[in-house]
Amino acid sequence: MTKSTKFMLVLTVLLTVVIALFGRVWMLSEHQNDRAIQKSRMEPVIFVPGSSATVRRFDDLFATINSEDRDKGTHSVLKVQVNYDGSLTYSGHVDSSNRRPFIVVGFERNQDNYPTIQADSEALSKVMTDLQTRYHFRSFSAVGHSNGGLIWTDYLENYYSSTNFHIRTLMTLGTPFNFSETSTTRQTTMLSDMIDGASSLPSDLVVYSVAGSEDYTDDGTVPVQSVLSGKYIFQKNVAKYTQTTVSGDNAGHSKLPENPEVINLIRELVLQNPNDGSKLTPKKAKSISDGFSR
Amino acid sequence: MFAKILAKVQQWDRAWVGLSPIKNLFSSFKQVLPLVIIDVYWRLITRLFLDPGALFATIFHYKIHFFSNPQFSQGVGNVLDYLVVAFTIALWTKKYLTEKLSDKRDPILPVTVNFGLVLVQTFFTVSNQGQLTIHLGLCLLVAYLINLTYLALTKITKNRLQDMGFAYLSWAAIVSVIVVTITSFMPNIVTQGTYTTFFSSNFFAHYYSLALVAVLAPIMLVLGISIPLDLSTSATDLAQVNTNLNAVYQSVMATLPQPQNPYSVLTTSAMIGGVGATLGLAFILIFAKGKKTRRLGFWSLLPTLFDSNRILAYGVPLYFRPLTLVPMILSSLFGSLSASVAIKLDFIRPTVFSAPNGTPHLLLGFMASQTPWRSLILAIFVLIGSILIYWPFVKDMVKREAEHD
Repeated sequence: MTKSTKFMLVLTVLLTVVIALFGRVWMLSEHQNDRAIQKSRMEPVIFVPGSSATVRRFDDLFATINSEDRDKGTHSVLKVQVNYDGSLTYSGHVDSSNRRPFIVVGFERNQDNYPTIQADSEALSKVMTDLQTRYHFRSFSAVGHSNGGLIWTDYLENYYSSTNFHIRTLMTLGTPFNFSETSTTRQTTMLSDMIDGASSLPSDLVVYSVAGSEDYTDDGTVPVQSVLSGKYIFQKNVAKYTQTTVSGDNAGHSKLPENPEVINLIRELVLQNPNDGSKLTPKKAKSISDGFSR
Repeated sequence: MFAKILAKVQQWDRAWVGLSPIKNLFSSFKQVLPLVIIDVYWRLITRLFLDPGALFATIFHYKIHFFSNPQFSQGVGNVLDYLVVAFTIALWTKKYLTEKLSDKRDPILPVTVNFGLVLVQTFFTVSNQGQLTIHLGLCLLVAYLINLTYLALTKITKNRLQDMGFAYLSWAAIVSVIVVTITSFMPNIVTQGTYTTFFSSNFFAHYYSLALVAVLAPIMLVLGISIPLDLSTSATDLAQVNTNLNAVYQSVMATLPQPQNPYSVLTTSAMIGGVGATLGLAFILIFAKGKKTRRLGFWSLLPTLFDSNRILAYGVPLYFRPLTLVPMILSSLFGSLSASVAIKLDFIRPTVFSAPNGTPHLLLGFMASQTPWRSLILAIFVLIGSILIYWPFVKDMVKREAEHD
């Protein structure tokens, strides 16, 4: 046997053994995780606040729901802050026995502009993966206040994968889909992009868009017409799209999450939502076809 | 009986290889072999180490930023693929026409036309989903027909026209327009790489239908038709595999609804070393006495371990070769039946999980089934079986090569 033959045989055997050993270990851990996700009954509601807001944005909302629904069991609260450098800071906890825990994902970079929304939605996809690894959930519902709704929309169009997750409901609160434009005929770049990418939205998604109205035209910050522009993105692209307007004393933009009507809507449409979506399919492991066949 | 069949196959093979177009084609294959080796090793290295979804990158959790976009490595691979096919056709055209034409005539025009038209055909298979399939057999058929029209024109004009004269240039233009037009109207079904809905049907959940595919796949490869990815890298997308996976996730040792499927039978057992279970052939070649054959075994062993048998396909060659077609079919069939029987007898549980991209089929059962050691034993059994099947068919070829050296 020549030296080259010996070398190639040793290399072949070595590679086979290394792949067999480490590959098997990888497979075991990967599929235990997949199985845990598949069997998980946890379906968190994930909240994303708007621009200039912190992870404490929904504290009053959570306090109200937890005090009013105490007899049905409280919702544990976890907060995740995405820092400027991309690192994540966790606070609070998720009770593993809690079926609908609340998770807030806030961003240190939270200026009111399109590039920030795009960057935050990309960061949101990393947070989602991290959350899934920690808590093994597959189904979830989403609530976005103001620009938080834009971050969710951008995430669902560009980063969401139905093989990894299943989103049941998205509720947006005072989300300016056309920024501060009062006319629906003038579309901002962001709205055009979101309309273009709307075909990527999950077809079984149920969307509720809630607008606040203080004086028939806006909620003090966001024009109602801008919120209504959401129909150009969601209508005909998701299973159900419903638009609601709330008015009254607490209908101002920043007060929307505490508005009693909004709290009722969250309770009825998100927490008790019977939308089971399509039958769950198992998460597939990373099978990446290189797309070549010769 | 077997000796008689073997002798008959060898006789056909010798007659077939003696035909002028085939002799020239095999000679062209040998000439492009270095480029094939570069192409195959480039793909192997990216698939194992560099790409974001590479086997080692997945298992050891690392990422090479320069290769974070797999389009770069795929693009380089595509260019090499195009060149391999284009050079093969150009060389073949040159050899074939030189043999058929008088010494004075220069075949540069048909060579260039065929080279260009192969590139056109390959570019047409690029879509927004990436590079789809290139059928070498189809490219060769088109080139052969073009060569026949060139020879016919030369014969009709009694070999009096200038090589690059008006008539030949007009011929080149007409032929090019016809091929480009036909190519542009080629239905997507011909160039798409996957047929998931088709292979997800219940028909492909039985041992007999899988055995049929095990027979047809080597024939397709030998005819230069690309094998659907549903039988290799995309097998985990099939409905049968998902149904099984769902059952396992609900209950670990659940009875699988569709144990016999393309992934658990064909990918895992019938395609160890690629279509035709050619890892066994690579092992025979690396131990050959002849230097050239041994060198071919040396270069092909590692890629074949990772189920790419293109070096063998061009080097032996496997394309358009009756001598190797028979053991390819037998090995493939042996692998599929062994897996089917082992599943039926509950010796193994079917391969059900998705393994990382690039996992050798030899280890697929070990890594992705619930009976790792038994599946490994089955894979080694199939490998040994394929070596024993290939040996009588190729031993004469190997011995002749050794004597030649």
